Amino acid sequence: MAMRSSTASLYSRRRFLALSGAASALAASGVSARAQSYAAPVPGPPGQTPRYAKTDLWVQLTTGGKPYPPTLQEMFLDPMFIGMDVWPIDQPASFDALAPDAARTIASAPAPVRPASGRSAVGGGTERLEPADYPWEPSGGRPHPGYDVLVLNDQADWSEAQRKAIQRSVDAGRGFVLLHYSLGDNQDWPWWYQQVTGGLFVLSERESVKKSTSTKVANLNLTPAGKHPILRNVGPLSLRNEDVFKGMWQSPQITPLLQTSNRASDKTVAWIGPNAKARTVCIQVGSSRETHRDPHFRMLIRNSILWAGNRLI
Amino acid sequence: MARISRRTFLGTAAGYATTLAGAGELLAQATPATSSRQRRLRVQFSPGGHTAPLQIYAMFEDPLFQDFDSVVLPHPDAFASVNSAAPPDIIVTNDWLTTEWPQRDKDNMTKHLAAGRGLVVLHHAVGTNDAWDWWTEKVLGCHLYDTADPGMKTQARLKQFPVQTIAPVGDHPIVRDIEPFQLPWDETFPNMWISPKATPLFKTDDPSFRDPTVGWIGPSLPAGRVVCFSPGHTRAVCQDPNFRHVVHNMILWTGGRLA
Repeated sequence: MAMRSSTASLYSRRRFLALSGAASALAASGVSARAQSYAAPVPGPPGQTPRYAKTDLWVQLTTGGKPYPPTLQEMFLDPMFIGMDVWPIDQPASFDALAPDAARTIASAPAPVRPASGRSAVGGGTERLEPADYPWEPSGGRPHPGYDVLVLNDQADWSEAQRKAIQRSVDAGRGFVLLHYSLGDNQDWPWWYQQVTGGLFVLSERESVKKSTSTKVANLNLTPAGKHPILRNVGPLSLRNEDVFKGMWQSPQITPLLQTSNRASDKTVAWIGPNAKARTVCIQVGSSRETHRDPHFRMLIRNSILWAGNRLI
Repeated sequence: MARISRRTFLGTAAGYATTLAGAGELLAQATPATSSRQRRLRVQFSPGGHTAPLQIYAMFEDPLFQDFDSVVLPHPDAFASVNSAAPPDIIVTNDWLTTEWPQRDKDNMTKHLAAGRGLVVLHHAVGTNDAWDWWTEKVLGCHLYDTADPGMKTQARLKQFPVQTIAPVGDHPIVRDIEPFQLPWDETFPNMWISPKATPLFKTDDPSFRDPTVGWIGPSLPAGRVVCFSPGHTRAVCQDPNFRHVVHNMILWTGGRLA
């Protein structure tokens, strides 16, 4: 797959260097200041010297509350997504690792207290036998590098703790990619859908807004609404068995990416949200197995994540 | 582990209704209206609350699993689907909630089991609802930790990351075609309490385990089949063909398709 932008080539070069263990060569290779910042050491626990640099784009994938095919997660195992470390954390999910101080917070969590008696008293703390090539794993004890981009396909009203973490993440310029169901998140949180995502699938009728509708269509044709890095190598999409939305609330400040003439759907089905700090991409489609396996859709998701994570300009 | 407000779990009434309808529709796709012996098993995978590798989701798209119609339905309202027109035959859980399920989830799961359907509990989920006695002692037959024990509420004894040899125990249909196999490095729970009423299926060779049982059938219920398998944390394990073979057999048996 040809990549035409200079940023994309930097991205590939950095990945190669990281895999070769040549992190120090990155600074000397003449890459941009922004690319160098990705290789900054991750802060570890107090008193511990950072031992590695972050090179991959770290992506949190959160779903919940709505059923979908396992092909969504399978999609991210496509080599197209190499260079991204994608971790599902489904609802009830923490968004703390997306916020700026996440790595330090998680790494410095207090050690569990060993009980003196009781059913679990035989054990105690964590034992580790880490293989030499051990990567980061959930609850593996290594400091979390922190996520750069949050990909959502949940449908829920988030808790206050989740909302605070998201607000900090938006302020810190993290990226967001919203798929399908997640356009119905946070019905009672206007800041989210008015200032960040720029769109809302309305679940129930309100004073001035009618309920949105969802319709399954056998064929859905999408065309680019203009030129944008996200649309490189995507082309027109022809999707099958998709659920399309009509009557969504959409901000006049969004930047359309993909449009359709299908009468069961709103015209704009993919767009960039209005927030100036956090790069946000909203994609209304993405519900069917066929779509998840469509190479053009996968390229759209890949580009959206890279762009939201400031790796594609 | 995430804490979450009750509000998030409760969601909206509209969301509840559409979830129910959506799960049924997804599960019913490609499921002809024939007898339950002929149609493909409807399998619902319900993770949530903890990081899990992509590979555990992708497992359900493995060619081995193509005899199932699988959907992913995490919390909240993960089990509302049992009230749909096409309820799941088997629910596979891998959730890890620091709080217990909301009462609605408990009621729906109770209904699912009372209808004689199947439950497969993987890795993280062996520790969910640890303070719900009926669940831990009658349904799962295990405790990951004791919530009445101060200091053990957030962390069980984990062992990360041994390479184990897993061997079948007995002659149960689930283990009948499985030879001892080496499991890639994984997070293990050597300190678990396994009920004496549970039927062991698989054991580990790791000598640090208090009870070497890592796969078992839960204590008998009046209806419903329950199987637990404590491995399943790392990417390596979740894409391991032996791990997937075990999970596939467990789904088949809990769905009444393996005798």
